[in-house]
Amino acid sequence: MSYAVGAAKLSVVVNAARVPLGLAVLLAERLRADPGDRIPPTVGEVGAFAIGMGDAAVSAARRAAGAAAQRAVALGRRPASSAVWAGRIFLEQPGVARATAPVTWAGSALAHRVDATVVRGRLVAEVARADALAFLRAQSASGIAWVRGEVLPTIIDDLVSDPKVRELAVEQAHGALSDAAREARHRSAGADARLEARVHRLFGMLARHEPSP
Amino acid sequence: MSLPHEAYAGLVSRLVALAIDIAAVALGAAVAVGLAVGGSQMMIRETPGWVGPVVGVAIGLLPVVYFSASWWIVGQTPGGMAMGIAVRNGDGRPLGFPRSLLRAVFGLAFAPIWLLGMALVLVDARRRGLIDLAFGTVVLYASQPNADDLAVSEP
Repeated sequence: MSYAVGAAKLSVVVNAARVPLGLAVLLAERLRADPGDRIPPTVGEVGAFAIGMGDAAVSAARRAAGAAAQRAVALGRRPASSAVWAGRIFLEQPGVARATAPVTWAGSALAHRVDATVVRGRLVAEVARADALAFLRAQSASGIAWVRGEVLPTIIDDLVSDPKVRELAVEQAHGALSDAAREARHRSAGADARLEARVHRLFGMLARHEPSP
Repeated sequence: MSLPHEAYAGLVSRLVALAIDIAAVALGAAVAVGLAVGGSQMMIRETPGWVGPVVGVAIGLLPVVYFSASWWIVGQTPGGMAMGIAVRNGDGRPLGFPRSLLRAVFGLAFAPIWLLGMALVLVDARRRGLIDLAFGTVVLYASQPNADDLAVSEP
């Protein structure tokens, strides 16, 4: 996949069928993540198995309807989870192992198959997640570029030509000048009184004009 | 109603206001010279002989017009506005044109005496300088109550 941010033309090559799945993975990460987590948790084993089953089913049937695959994965997630867990517990019982010695090989093969499906599901989830991230980044970059190129200039033009805004700017500048002048007057008035008092002290003059409280 | 001693503008405020006015007059003179010389150069590519005397007279009259018009019309020069001080008659009324003109002419003609006479501000009960004593004026902080209410007898 590739995408260029800031260019006039943004191109993103992603597997469109995997974007919804990647978005679902990202959403699940956000929902499962604690606020303090810096690294979001990866897809769980059950989820990976479900994704792997769904991906295998989709590949086998060569059906590429993303929404349908999502629904199938979602529907198969809970039963598949129970099936995997129950199957493993059942096969690990000693009596069952002896009684089912002829089918041990078959059970082992099933476990391997389950593990392979989980690995496959994790791989698919990672790829889908990366595709979804690229899609989201490209879309946000494109949105920001559109706002910068189309919306902001219009808003700025409107603000500049708005008489109310101009009036506000003039009032603000006038207020700043007034504040500066008021401060200068206050300081100079204080300097007047101090200079006069020093001169009076210097020449030993009596304070004929006591300052007002 | 008499005003307290602190209602009258002190030496620092008056000197700062005067400095601002001098800068404004100098700027105005420079602009006038620039416009006259630069404009004639641009229009007829030379400076006629009469431009110099006319500009000289204008620059000579500029300070008189500046101070007298400011005191007469609003009671404050731009420097006085910046520092918040105003010139009034001794009874608090605004200055009339004759008194404004005379105050400006004599003040500018005897500028060193005007400046030295300002030292009296430090010791006078109403902070009057020599020029104020000569023309019966006072300089007030503009934030004081309406100067028309002022009723201070002339010494």
